[in-house]
Parts: sequence; C-alpha cells; structure tokens
Amino acid sequence: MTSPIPESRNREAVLGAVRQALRHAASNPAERDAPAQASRSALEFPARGLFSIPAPGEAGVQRFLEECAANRTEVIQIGSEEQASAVLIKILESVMGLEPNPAAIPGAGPAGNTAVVAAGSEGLYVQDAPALRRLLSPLLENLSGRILWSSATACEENRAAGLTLAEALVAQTGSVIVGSDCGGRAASVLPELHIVYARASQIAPDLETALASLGGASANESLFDRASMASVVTGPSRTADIEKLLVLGAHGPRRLIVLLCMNA
Amino acid sequence: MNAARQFRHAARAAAQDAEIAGILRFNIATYDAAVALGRGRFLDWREARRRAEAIKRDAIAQLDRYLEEFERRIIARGAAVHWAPDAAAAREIILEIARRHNVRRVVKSKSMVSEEIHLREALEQAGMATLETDLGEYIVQLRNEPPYHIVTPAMHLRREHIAGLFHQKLGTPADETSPEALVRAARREMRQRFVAADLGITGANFLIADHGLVAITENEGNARLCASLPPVQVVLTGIEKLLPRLADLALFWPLLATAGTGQPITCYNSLLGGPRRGGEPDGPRELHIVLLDNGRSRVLADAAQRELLHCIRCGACLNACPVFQTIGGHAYATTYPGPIGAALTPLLRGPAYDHLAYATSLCGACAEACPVGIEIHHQLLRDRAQAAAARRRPWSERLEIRALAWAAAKPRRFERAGRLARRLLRLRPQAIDGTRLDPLRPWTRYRQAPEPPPQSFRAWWRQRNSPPAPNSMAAEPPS
Repeated sequence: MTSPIPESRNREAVLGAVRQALRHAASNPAERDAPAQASRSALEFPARGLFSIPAPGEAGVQRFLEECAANRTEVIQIGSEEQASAVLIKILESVMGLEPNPAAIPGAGPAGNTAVVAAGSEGLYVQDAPALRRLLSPLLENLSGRILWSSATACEENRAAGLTLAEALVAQTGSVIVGSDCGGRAASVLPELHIVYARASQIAPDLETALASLGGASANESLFDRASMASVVTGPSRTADIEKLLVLGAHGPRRLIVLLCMNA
Repeated sequence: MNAARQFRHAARAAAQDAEIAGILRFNIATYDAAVALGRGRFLDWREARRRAEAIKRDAIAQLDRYLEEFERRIIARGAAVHWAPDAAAAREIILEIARRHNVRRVVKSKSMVSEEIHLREALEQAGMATLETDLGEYIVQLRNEPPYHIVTPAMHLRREHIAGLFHQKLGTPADETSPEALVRAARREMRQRFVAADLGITGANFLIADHGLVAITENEGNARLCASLPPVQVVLTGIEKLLPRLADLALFWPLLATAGTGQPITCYNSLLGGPRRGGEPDGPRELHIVLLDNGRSRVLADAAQRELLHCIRCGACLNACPVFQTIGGHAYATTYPGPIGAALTPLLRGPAYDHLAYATSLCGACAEACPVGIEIHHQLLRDRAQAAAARRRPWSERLEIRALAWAAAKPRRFERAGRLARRLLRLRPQAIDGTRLDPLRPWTRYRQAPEPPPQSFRAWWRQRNSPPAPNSMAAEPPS
C-alpha cells in the first residue's frame, strides 16, 4: 500500500534548504547581490527602450499588420458588422464544405456568398459572446445545427474551426491574446482554423502594455480572476524540428485569421 | 566503464562521424543566421542581457520569498503545490497523483526537468502509457534515445531518418520524406492520444511570483493541448524558474525566443493561473505544480556558482560551443549537454561528472551567447580547478609542471630550455609522427605537428627592435 506523501515535510525540506543556502551565500565575501538589487529596483519596466515600438493609433495598426504578415497570421480588415458576416461565410464555405444557398443573406452581396452546410461537415465552435452572436445572426439559418456555443459544450476534436474574441492584440509582435474566457482553452488551439474577431482599438503597442492590462490596475482586476489561462498567440502553430524547415499546423491551427474591425 | 571513460569514447566516436558533423554544421548555421536577424530586432541586445541578468539575480537572491509568493497566489486559485527535495520524491508525488486518478494514458509536453528525473520511465514502469508530444521529443522517443539538444531534440537527424522511422512505426509511405507530410502523420497519430489522455504533464519556462502564474513557451501547441484536454494536469519544474513580476516577461519572452531559435517571440506563450474555473467549458479539474530542488539549493549555497541557476534553457551556449559542435549532444550522457550542462551536471550529480569540466576550450563563446550573461567558461574553469585539486595528478604530469616552473622562473633558464626543446623537436623522426612511439602523440594523433620555429619569440623581438642593418629587410616573425 502507498503511504501518504509527507508533503509538509517536503515543503520544509526544500524551503529550509533554500533559506540556509541564501544565508550561507550571504556570509560569503564573493556575494555580489547588494548592487544587483539596487539596479533591479531601477527596472520598473524591464523591456522599455529595448524595442522599436509604434505610437498608439494608426502606426500601431500598421505595425500589427506588418508583424502578422511576417508571422503568417491572415488579417482581414473589416469596415462594418455586415461586412464581417459576409467575409466569415466566405471563409466557412471553404473550410466547412458549405454549399451555395439561394436564400440570400442580407448585405452579403451576390448569391454565391451565401451557403448552407453540407451534410456530414464538421461544426463551428464559437465563444458564446454577444458580439459573436450578432456576427453570426445573419448566418444562423445556413449554419443551423452546425454552431456549437461554448456555453453549451466543450470544443471537441472534430470541429472545423474555432471562432473567438481576443483579450488584446499586440502591435510589437503581431500577437493575439486569448484567455480561457474566450470560449475555453481548446477553442483556439484544437481546430485546424482559428478565427479571431477583434477591434483595431484592442491593439496594444507592445508586450509591456499588454501584460500590464492582463495583470490589471489592481490585484482584483487581473484577467486571471475570471480566466484560468491565457495565451499570447503569434501566428499559426508551427514546428522546425525536421531539418529546421518551417511547417505550419504542428499541433494547433494551421491557419489563424483575424477579422479586424477598423471602426471601434 | 566509468562516466569519464565513457565520455572519452563517445566523444571520439562522434568527432569522427562525418555525417553527424555535416548535419550539425547545417543546423547550427541555420540557427546562427536566424539569431543574427533576431538580435537585430533589439535596439540594444547587451542592455537586454544586463537587465535580464539583474532580474534573475534578484529572483535567485530572494528565491524563498518569491517561491512562497508564487505558491500562495496560485493556491488561492485552486492549484496544488508540491515540493520535491529530490528526483525520487518528485516521481513519487506524480505517481501518487496518477494512481489517485486511475491514470492509464499520459500525454507530456517538452520538459528537461522530466528528463532529469526520468519521469517517463517511472510512469511506464507503473503501467501508464506515456507519450512525448513535442515533435522532436516524439521522434527521439520512437527511436528510444534521449534528446540530442535541449531545444532541438532531433537535431542529429535528417528527414530521411525520420521518414524511415515513421514508415516503420506509423506506416507512412517509405518514400514520403516531405516535412509537411511527416508532421501531418505525427499530428494525426498524436491527436487520438491527446483526446484519450487521463493526465497531461508539462514543464514551465518561468514561474511568476507577483501573479502566481506558470508561463509555458512553445511553438507547436502541444503544451496548450496538454493543458486543455486531460482532466488532470501536472506542471513539473525546477525551483529556480522564478521571475518576480509578470512585467518581466515583456523582456524574457523575446529574449528566450531570440536566443533559442531567432524568433521575435515564440508562437505560443501561455500563462496558467489555476485549474478550470466554474463556467469554463474545458481545462483540467486539478492542477498540480511540482517544484523540484534536486541539488539546486546546493548550487544556491555557493555565491560563486549560483549564477548557473539564472539559466533559462535556451540552448544558445550549446550551439555556440566548439566542443558541442564537434561531439554533439549524446556524448555528454547527461540531461543537460553543452557548456551549461558541463558546468551544472557535476554540481547537481557529483564528482563522477568532474571530467565535464574538461569538455571545453574555455574560449568563452558560451558566455558571449548566453542571453542572461552567465559566465559559463569561468564556471567551467572553476570546476576544473576543483576537479584537479580533488585528486592526485600522475607523476609524469607533476614532474612536467615542476620542470616548467623551474625553467620559467629565470629568463636565462627559459631561453635555454626553449633552445633545447626546439632542438629536441627537430630530432624527432618524421616516421614516428602520431604513432605510439611519438612522445607528442596526444597532439599528433589528430593533428600535424608544427615545425619548430628557427628562433624564439624573444630572439625575434630583439632582432626586430634593434636598428636595422643597411640594406636588410625587416625580420619576418617566426611562423
């Protein structure tokens, strides 16, 4: 039979060893920590001045687009919610095997842009959020039964695409930050395609600003008080483990598409 | 065979393997080019290193405080924190968690600490099928060998090797060697195992004290899947991975990516705050963090050595090291190969690994490459001094050193000894070059013996600085 682990004893053993080591080292003349601590206090903003960072606004959007092009994120700039719906159905047509539907969607343009789901195709997993419900409302008829809302079920293996919002976007690196409150943990990593619906006003100029907003202004405004996990996502999943050659879609999405709403 | 002799044999064999040499050269050249570009994205790379060093120094100097802060904050969100004084304790803690949940199938993402404690072997012995899901780790697991490099586990293989392996193990077509198809096959195979897994195990790149977060860096998405699909998750990591503040990642994420692969930032940087929250559709019901000491507090106790705990496991020093470039990763027979492994292993695992202090040219390329400014070559020199002091050298070596000390003590003596040595070298018959009769065999076995110069440097220098005789050319330096 297994005996219970002496957890508290282990804790005291490790922490005790660490404390003793620190005391021991501190009595050593080779100790160099005092000046280092002084310089540490000066590092309120560890990354400041180390990277070229765009100014907020237009420059930030431009930099975000450039970085995304470099890291293979596909960004589609959107002017209005109707346009977003139309673009979305186009994408879903190709990945979900949708077929043209003569029952046109208002504002979606020519009939070719509209579609119904073909039998046997996989579903679309969607973060249950008002903005995404509005975005999908013109498509509900066509996608009926093929939308799985995060409020009802977990994202499973055979989903064609995951559609989520983002916590923030980062211009410096062309990154999208998704939390587990964006439809759970799997929605943005399990499907072959991850679609993010975001606003240009969500673009933070750099990692420093984005991390600060995740941490919150005070301890109880932290993202981690409402989400158990967050990921800074920079392009589609990739590997270079075979001869250093870049292959997209290693374990996560092969494509990452950002529908970027320009008018906040 | 003891570890030192084993190392000499393996190193010699690897150094003579032309195929491996070609593969390493290609890989490291590709890496070097990417890193040069990556460093160019920093306005001031040296300042970035200085700041990273200062932050790690602070983290390590107050490690107890930061560990407790991390523990308190992540426990508040429902995670369990376990402390493991050594490898056996860590294995037992994880096995106990697995047994409690009747775990049969485990998926793992990349973790050097799990290699350090031989976790996969322990899980499999307990009857739990355990899958490495990082593509490189998966490949070396299928080959039943340890990772070759801490960032690029399958660095020693060409695509044909991998194609052959996948043909045999996964049934891909024998002539299918395109990386896309091979990645596809591995993904398909592993997806089923992810979905069926009862336990996910990951490492951690950083632990964030001020918010109580585990930070995991990866490109493939397998660590995110390990943290998303199985009902229970274990994070296994060393106690030295602490960073004081979330804000520090704005520096450390780009720094690690640049030094590790040359990327501006790695594809996925995840932050774990705890197990699944109420209302979330997925994620593990339990999150266990296992904090491993296993010799680290011993390193911490020595103020001269403790900067080795600043290491963020980027692998840059391996790629920069002429010894690693020559003998590769497996010859070391340690969890951590290359300069950082050579410096750290004797401290973590004891004097049986002292020979690694000699697996260096002391050129300092490792320290130059290190993104947190660890002076690895100084550490190796110190290790070497300790190893030398710990045992009696052979009489021949002691005699040589004594003779050298005697000869070098007076300028006249030194000059005469040099003249004698040059004469003796010239007397050495060419025929014995590199044979067992050659007293210079350790050198001439692999290299050509240099021609002894016609005169000493001092003689050349005197001649050069004396007023030139009319119509004479300036003296050439001795070659």
